Amino acid sequence: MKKQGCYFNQEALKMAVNNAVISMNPGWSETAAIIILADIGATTESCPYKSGKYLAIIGDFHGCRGGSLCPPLFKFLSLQAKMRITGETAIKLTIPPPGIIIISKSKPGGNHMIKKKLLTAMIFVALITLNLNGYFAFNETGKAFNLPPCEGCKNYAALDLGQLLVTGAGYFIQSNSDYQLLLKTIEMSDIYGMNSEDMADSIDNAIKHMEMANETYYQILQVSSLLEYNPTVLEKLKNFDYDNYQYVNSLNPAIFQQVERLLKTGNVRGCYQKFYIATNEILVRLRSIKTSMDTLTIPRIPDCWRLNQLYLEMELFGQYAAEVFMNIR
Amino acid sequence: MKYFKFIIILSLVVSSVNLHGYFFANEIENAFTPKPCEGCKNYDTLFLKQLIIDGAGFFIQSNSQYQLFLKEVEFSGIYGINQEAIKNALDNAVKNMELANDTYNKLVPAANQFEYNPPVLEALYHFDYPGYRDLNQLNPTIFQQVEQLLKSGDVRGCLQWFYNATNEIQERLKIIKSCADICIMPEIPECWRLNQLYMETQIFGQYTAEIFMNLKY
Repeated sequence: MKKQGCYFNQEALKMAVNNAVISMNPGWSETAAIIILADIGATTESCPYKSGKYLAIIGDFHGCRGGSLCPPLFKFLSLQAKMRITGETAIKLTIPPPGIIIISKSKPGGNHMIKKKLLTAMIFVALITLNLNGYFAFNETGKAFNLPPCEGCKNYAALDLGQLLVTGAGYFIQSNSDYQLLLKTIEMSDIYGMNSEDMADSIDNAIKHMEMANETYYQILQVSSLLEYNPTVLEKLKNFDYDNYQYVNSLNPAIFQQVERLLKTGNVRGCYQKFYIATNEILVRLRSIKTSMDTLTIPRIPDCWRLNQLYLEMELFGQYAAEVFMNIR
Repeated sequence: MKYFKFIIILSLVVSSVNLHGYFFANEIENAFTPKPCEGCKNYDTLFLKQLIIDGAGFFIQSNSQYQLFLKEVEFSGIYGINQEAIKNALDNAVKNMELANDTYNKLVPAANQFEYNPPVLEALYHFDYPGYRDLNQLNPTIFQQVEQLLKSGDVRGCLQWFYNATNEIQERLKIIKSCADICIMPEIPECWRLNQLYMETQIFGQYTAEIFMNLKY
């Protein structure tokens, strides 16, 4: 089957980025995206355009504030085949292997110059693993590591790291949601009766998702150990105004201090290690609760309290780390 | 199987006379005297207890749904936006937070109908807060807020605190939902602050329950 879209390799992309003319769409926030107009050339026969000017959007979209491009960007990320940008242009998108980008050619000519081109035809640089949109636990901490990976290291290790961080966060949050459901079922059992099936589902799901999170953080530790730190990012972490950020956002001091202690000293791997250990501990506690439930015994309530605290504190820890990284530019 | 059914029936029978909740402000009703004050509506503290459990359940359910929403947003970078899942999670989070807020809205005036129970206030005053905090490694900032209210016997202040917090969460949720309803990604810092508020409120509620369940009087 003929693939849709155009595919470029990593080298073509790098050149495009290096030689790009960068401009900003005035409707976007500062961090929304960077627009690149570049000739990156097609490398496969499936591409209808062999060469020419292409518009690329790279960078992160975390600051996307609901401008006209936000919904298309989300659709893009949803890996759906079609994307409508302005109601005029639908672009076919497919998901390539890592390091490959997908493009659509900008329309030639026209008087509206870049703006028109931006709206009517774009290249979405699918550095998915580099620019993953994740927000809630350690996201962007992958920035702390050098790209490309160190000599002799596994290729694309840093790319993998971005994806792993999002995956780990997602599983952790899902497990927290499952555990909250369990607490709610126990809480209301005296009024509405004990729904043992719901309880069994909740604890099973919480364990399953925490196992996946735990495995992912193990992989994160492995992958990050292959990478060297990026001195520029470490410098920024050192100079970040933690006190002010904590004060302005009323962050929980005890939890933020733990984040600060690790990030200020550039110990990003220490953050991963802490999370890996926490997911291990949560798993042990979840299994102990499950054992009680399997024998039709209500778990010890203080055990549930401490586990709940661990969940909530670790989630805030991960969130604060992500916040710091998303605020160092 | 028979044994299992028996346990469930037994637990239902027991529950009808002895309600228990554990995770959010439970047993706080013990701070009030069982007899309503003269001229007050004829409430009994069991009514308070039931409201507390309801409020707790709705709050925790809403938190669970908000976590699902966060998970969907988090995973969207890999698996794509699941608009329907996001909408469902937010709808449920809003609905349950409205129920929680309504419950606290009933609870605050209901508690005003009762007089404080002096032995419980005395026990709250003498409770070893630092010892309990250190033993269980509780979050100092949140525990301090709980301590400030309970040590001074301001249990109604605690209930008001829950009402205010659920109000604020509800407002913030609605803003996020209004963005998601038109397929616009909410501001991530807004999601962060709301998540923090959920977490802190839940820990606050849990610590309150912990103290009441550890009180000796």
